[in-house]
Amino acid sequence: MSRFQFPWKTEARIAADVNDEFEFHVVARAAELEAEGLEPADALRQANREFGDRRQAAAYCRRVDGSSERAARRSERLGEVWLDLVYVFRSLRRTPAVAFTIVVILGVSLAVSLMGYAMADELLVRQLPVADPSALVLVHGELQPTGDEVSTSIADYRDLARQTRTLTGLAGLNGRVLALGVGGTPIAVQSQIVTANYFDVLGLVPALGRFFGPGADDPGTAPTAVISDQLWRERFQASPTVIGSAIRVNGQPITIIGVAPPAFAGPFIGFRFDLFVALGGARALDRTVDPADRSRGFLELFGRVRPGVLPGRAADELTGLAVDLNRSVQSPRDRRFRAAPMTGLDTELRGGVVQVVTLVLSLAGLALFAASLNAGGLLLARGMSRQKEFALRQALGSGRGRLVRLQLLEAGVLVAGAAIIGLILTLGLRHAASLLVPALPIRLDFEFALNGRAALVLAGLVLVATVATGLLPAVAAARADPAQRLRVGGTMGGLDGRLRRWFISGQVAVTFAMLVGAGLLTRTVLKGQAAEPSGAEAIATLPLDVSFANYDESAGRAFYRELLARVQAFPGATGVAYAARLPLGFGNAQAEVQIPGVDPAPGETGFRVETNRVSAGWVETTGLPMVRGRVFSPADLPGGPSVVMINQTMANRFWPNANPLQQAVVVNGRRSEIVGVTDDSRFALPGRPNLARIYLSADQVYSPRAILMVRGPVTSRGIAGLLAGAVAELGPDLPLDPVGTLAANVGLAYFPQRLLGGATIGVAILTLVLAAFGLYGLLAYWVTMRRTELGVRMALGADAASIRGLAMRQGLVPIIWGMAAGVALAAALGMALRSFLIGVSPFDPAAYLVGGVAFLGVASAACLIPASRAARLPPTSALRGG
Amino acid sequence: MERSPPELMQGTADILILKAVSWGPIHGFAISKWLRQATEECLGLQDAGLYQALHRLERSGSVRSEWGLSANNRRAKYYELTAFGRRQLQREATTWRNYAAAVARVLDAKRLEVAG
Repeated sequence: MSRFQFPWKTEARIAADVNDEFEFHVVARAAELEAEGLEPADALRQANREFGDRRQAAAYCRRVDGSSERAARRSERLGEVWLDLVYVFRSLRRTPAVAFTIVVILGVSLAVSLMGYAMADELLVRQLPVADPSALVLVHGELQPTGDEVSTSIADYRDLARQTRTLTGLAGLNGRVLALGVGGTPIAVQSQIVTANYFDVLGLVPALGRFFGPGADDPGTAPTAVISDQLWRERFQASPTVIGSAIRVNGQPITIIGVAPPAFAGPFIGFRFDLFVALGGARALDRTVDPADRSRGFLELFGRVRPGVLPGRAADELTGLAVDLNRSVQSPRDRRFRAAPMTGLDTELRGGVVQVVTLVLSLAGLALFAASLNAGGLLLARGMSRQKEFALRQALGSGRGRLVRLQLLEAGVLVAGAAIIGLILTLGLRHAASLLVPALPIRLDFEFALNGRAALVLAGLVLVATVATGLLPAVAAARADPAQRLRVGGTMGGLDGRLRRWFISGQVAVTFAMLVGAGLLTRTVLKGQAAEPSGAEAIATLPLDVSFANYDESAGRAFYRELLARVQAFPGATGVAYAARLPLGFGNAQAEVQIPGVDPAPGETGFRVETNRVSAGWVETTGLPMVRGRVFSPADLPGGPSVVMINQTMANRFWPNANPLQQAVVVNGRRSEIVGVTDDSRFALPGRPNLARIYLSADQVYSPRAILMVRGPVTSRGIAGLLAGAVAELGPDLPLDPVGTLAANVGLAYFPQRLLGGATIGVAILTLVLAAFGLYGLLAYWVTMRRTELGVRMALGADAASIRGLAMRQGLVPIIWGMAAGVALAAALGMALRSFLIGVSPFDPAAYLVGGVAFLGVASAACLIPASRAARLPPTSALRGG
Repeated sequence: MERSPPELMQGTADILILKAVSWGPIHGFAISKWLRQATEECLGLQDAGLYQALHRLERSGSVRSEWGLSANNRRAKYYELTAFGRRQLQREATTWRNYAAAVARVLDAKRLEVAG
């Protein structure tokens, strides 16, 4: 009996078959009975009666047949898929180079996308590792009427925390670097001075020991601390005996009472805090802390809202309480409180982060898509050799659906291989993101983790990549006309070629846009570097804070005086100074000034200007040009007449038609004389306007904090090494940061541009390589297909150059179309990047020129190889081979 | 009203059908006729039940079917035994013979003298 079965049976067909079968039986039996002598009608009735319940039996048989039909179909399909899979593996093994190229290209692209996702997940999706993070709110104090954010004094905090009814708990923190001494030179540790209920409000449970008790806020209690799990492992070898032991923090003994849970390193994403000191011990670490002083803000507040209470209600309540507080203690500070969800990311920062992350994700997605399409192109080119086979299969009755499925299966197998490579790359390079991040003054901590969410994202990416990879070959397979293919013997008959050209054009466009984007960002960074002080790489910088060692003013002054004297004697040091802030640095200091003869705006008591404190020798060391007047000198003594310098913007604003020198300004209540006017350059962060600025004399106005700057050869054996040695000797209790350079610091200011620029350049290179592959493949294929024609041309007298030209023209058309679309795409990308481009137009001609030249260079090289091969074909072999 | 023959247990019906099919392609009506003659109408298997059993046996892979033409040129569905069905028939026939023999032995036995 033949097992060959034609089309699958439908429900109706099954029902008809069952009915026919039964009918045959009944008719046959009736005939038999008739032959025995019964009347025809009686015979039929008798046969039906003998048969039994026909309706029930038919229903039963239909059900049974239907289910066996479905089972047969399933196993047939499974068998087909298995056969296809075997076929795919066999055919991939026949062309290992193509398979390998595709898997690597897709693997790298998948890794880029995964890294982009990891960043987005860490910054925007992942929640803080605390209990019910959605009920936590950050409570910002805002000064009225300016809206400036202010922190809350310890005394105010205690009143607010006691009176609030909308919050189940109000906690506060003060972030700062503390010097942690565990034998040897102290290390600088990102720390928080926190209120006693800090961990309770976050809803955390200690990994070891305990958290602070209710009395830990009281001034004068013995200072206690909780350390992070990471610090516990790194510095204390995860020893349980650390509980109850004393460490030295800023030179003061502090008892460790607990270790925080492993996932927790402070309530801000990306930042790692390692040391949490109870508020009661704050004064021991920092003498300027005064728990009774309501005029000095100290704590950032956050709280947990009572169930059913809206965060806005909590903010209103705190505002009301603050008003009462201001009235009862006659504080001049008029505050409002604003509540924001505690996402772990600063609300203002979040906007920028969303922007950067969106851009990075878009770039990564675009690269993956381009890589997938390209892989599809390579598959298609390779598939051409199988055209005849496909056509044959189709002619023999293999459905188009099955051919399409075969293409998608092949794509799926390749993408699965790529996913493995991508995952290995991502996990292997999970700390690579930190390589892109230059040393920040704060410690950043990011990590890619393969969790359920990441697996889901990977599955989605694989699906998209598979569809995009299989798209081109599948469309080609679906549209194929077997008759034509068999007849013309394997040419693709125009359609696939047109598809490929479209696709190459698209790639050219994306590549060109990426190159231009990379160019724009690079130009921005280069421009910024050009604007930095001359020889910034030869200026060593070292931030110092003698409050770490609890020095008072006279000890602090003595330390800086002695250090400067030593550094001046270093061989090669040509300038030494210190200042509160670096040029182009982060942070912002402002002061209110009064200017005799210039009235402030109604309701204001003065003008807000930027400030910096700089020592004698600072202008010479940084090379900041003076416009007029003199610089600070060692003769400007602490007790002497108070002197200041101003910048050109400030001079223009307040003395537009007069000489500002010898004029008086009142800064922080001190009447001072303007002795010099500096150039405007070099202080505003990139993209921010220059502001009026006033320079106070660091020699006259003391602060324990300063950044030392030394001009000279910055090497570990030269200035940097000497500097570290001198500080360690003069202040053994001081934590020692690595000695940096001013250039590195300026680079930091361009961090977003560098991060984005790096990502764009990476993606641009990837797409450039892909486009080159695509062009090469297109031309190589064209040359193979036109071998006969080329041979005829050569036989008729065409020379090598004209053949080469003919082949190159095949590549030129998609390049021209692609470049045209690329200009539009680049313009769109430029506009998207606009906020990151400082001093560079989104339509910067140089970026377009460099992008165009780079692309055309690579593209013509990719086209030239197959074109030259065409030109070298001996005419006879071309004719034979056709 | 006719005297109704004893109902067949399902397993018994299956083994009889497998036996009927074992001589080569045969349609349902012929099976029914053969069963009636072979059992001398002692065992009652309604035709409706016969067809249900056939379809069930086809699903389980014991028999396979094909449409063909009957002696008088009508479309009829012919069944035949698969290799699997043949093994099943042998196995069950053995089991059934042993069972029947055991039951027969018991029924033919003399009364036992049981001590105590």
